[in-house]
Amino acid sequence: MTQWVIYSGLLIALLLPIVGTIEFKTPRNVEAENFFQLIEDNVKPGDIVFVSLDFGPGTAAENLPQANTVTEHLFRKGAKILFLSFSPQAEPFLSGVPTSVTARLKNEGLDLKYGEDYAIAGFRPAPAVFLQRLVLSQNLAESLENDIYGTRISTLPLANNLKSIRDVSAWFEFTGLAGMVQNYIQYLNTGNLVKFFHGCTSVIVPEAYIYKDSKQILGLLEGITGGVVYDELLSKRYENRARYSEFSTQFQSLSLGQLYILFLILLGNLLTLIKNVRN
Amino acid sequence: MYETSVIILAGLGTLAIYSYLFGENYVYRFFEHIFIGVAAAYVPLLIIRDQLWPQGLAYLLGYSELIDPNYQPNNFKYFVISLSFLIGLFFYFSYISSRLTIFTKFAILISLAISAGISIKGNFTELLPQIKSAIKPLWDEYEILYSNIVFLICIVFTFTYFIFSLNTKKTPIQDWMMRISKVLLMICFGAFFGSTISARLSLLVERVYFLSNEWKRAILSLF
Amino acid sequence: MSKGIDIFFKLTVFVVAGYFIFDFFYSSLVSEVTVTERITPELLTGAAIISGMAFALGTLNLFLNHIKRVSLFLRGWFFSLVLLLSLITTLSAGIVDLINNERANLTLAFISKLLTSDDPDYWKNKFPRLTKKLVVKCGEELPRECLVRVQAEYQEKLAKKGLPNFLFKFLTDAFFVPLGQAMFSLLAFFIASASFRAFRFNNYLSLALLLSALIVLLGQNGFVVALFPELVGFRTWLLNYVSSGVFKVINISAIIGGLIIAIRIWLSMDKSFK
Repeated sequence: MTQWVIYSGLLIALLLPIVGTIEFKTPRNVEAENFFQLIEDNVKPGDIVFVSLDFGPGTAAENLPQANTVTEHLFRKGAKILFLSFSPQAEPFLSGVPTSVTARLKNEGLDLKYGEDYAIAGFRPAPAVFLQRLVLSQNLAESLENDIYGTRISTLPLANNLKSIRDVSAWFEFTGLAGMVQNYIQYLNTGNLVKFFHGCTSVIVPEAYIYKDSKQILGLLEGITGGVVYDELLSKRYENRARYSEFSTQFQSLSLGQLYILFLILLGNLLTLIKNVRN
Repeated sequence: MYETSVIILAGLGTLAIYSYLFGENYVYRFFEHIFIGVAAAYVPLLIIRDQLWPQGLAYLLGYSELIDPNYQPNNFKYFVISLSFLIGLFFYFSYISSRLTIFTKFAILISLAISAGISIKGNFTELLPQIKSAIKPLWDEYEILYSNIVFLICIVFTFTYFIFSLNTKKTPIQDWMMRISKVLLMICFGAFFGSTISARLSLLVERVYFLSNEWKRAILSLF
Repeated sequence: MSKGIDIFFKLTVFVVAGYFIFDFFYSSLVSEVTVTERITPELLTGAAIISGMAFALGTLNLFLNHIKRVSLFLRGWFFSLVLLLSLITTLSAGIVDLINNERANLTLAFISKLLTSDDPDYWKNKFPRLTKKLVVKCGEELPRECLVRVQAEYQEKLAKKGLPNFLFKFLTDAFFVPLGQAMFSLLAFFIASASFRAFRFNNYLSLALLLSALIVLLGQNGFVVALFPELVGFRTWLLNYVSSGVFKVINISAIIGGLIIAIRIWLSMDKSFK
């Protein structure tokens, strides 16, 4: 019985911002602000960047807002993006993210072409092996082989100046998989060779901080909060931009859900205390 | 039409999975097995499409010359790819006969050896910056850096906790160091724990949002 | 296992792992492109193929397990049948789609070579099957206009996508993504239940754990931060200095442990080899 009360309470707490009018102001997130500023300072038009979508349906709730907002920012900065993934479960998002972001930008008159402004390399297994091959490669575009449509990436206009890993201005990775970011840090030598930016789920945030401390990760986005704060920062930077209303509504629900969890912890402890006092 | 039917099915599947909260039931098991079947097919499919075909088979069959404008014949690469496919096939020999298990062991051995060799490089690359960043200045020309002092205390005490070769009979100082180390470890694990709660709630929030918006709209559009 | 095979295995491990270790240290010390830097990418391609071929083991095991259940009508055979049907449907749709796409891509690449190359006969002799396919459509001479027409047909075919592609996309959108999300989100309910039943401030250690958890959790909460704005800074400080300090030690220890295991495997000191 108690179980059903708890579950129902949780659902009500999560539904209130969605169906009602409860709203909180989005809190500051220092890391998201730094991430944003680093892209503003480091990414120039024509720069080639890699975006790794290493997440599946299980963590899409947190990684998708990050991926969408950062991809939009990179496109607005004029970067040329190559999408890839080391997680087979990312397949639906590898085409979904570029398609949805380019469609949004098309409404604002920014027409992005596949092959020129972005390409999708697809899934690659064995990240340790693949990343090492990229680093050692004398012709990076050739090492990437085919894109998801079977076209040789080296024949695409985007890859014209992609000869070695040093031609990659920055690498952005979004993941919820434990141990995935270590592949990049170890084999891409992110502290020296490549500027590496990381968007992770809340679960691995404390772990990501140690790599940020050692400057093996330059920028860090934390969970859905990072995505929502980034969305706000984008709207401040680019006026007349349509916000992702679903992400901010979900964030409000999350806030209320967190308060509910706090309430449950306090209530449980209070009832235990009363029981102990009575006994 | 496609979008509506996909959304309705997705919503029904989500509710079926949530029916597990009532206890294991046939509806949950039905959708669970569909999910496992689809997910299990995903990995080999993508491996074939994005790696084994373009990097391996297409090269062996000579099609690379057709699709790769920078194609250069390379006997060494041809040999390596052929050998790799052969070793890869060894993984499945144990399914054919138990007497061929030795080949499977050989394939596993090769994989382990490659992983061991590669991981040494990776571990060094990760380790050295971590050790370097653990050493922080405790003061600069203007002030004492209290945060860095706290950082140093955390590192020293955590190291202390994991040194098992100390005497089992602890002195009072060692005992207090152990207690403080445990508190610091609990703070670290608490940070992970709090983050985990946030992450799991985020996943549920997304599903609840989907059910109360897109799915509700799709269902209502039927009537 | 005989002693000879044992020695052969140990030698193989030593040589294979040893090459990559040698390559790492050698290329770090030598500045110009070394011979290992020329052959290592090819070896890594081989390593990727080996690991790629191992990926299907799990699927194969699952398939055989459930085939057995269905064929012997064991308990739960109906659900095993559902699993097998969804697995076979997804796999078939994906493979047929892949074959169609690659056929079209190869044909388009072949036509492109015939139209642009100085020596089309080289390509005709190199790929007789593709040539035969075009001869059926265009005749022996393979006139340019016909090749251009066939090229346009295949491009349209690629752009249109067929039933296998639609089926694969449908299975992904209707089942794979939403059911995966639902499965992972179930945990939130159990966390809520555990919050009420199990999370107790019993002693100083659980107090430290729960307080830290609440700071990290609520430091991103819009409502709480509106009341206590300093919490954002305190949360960041806790993660940057306290949590990082502790976890850095754990991470360094884990990396050193990983190095030791790798060296043990390299030198065949790991007992599982015996």
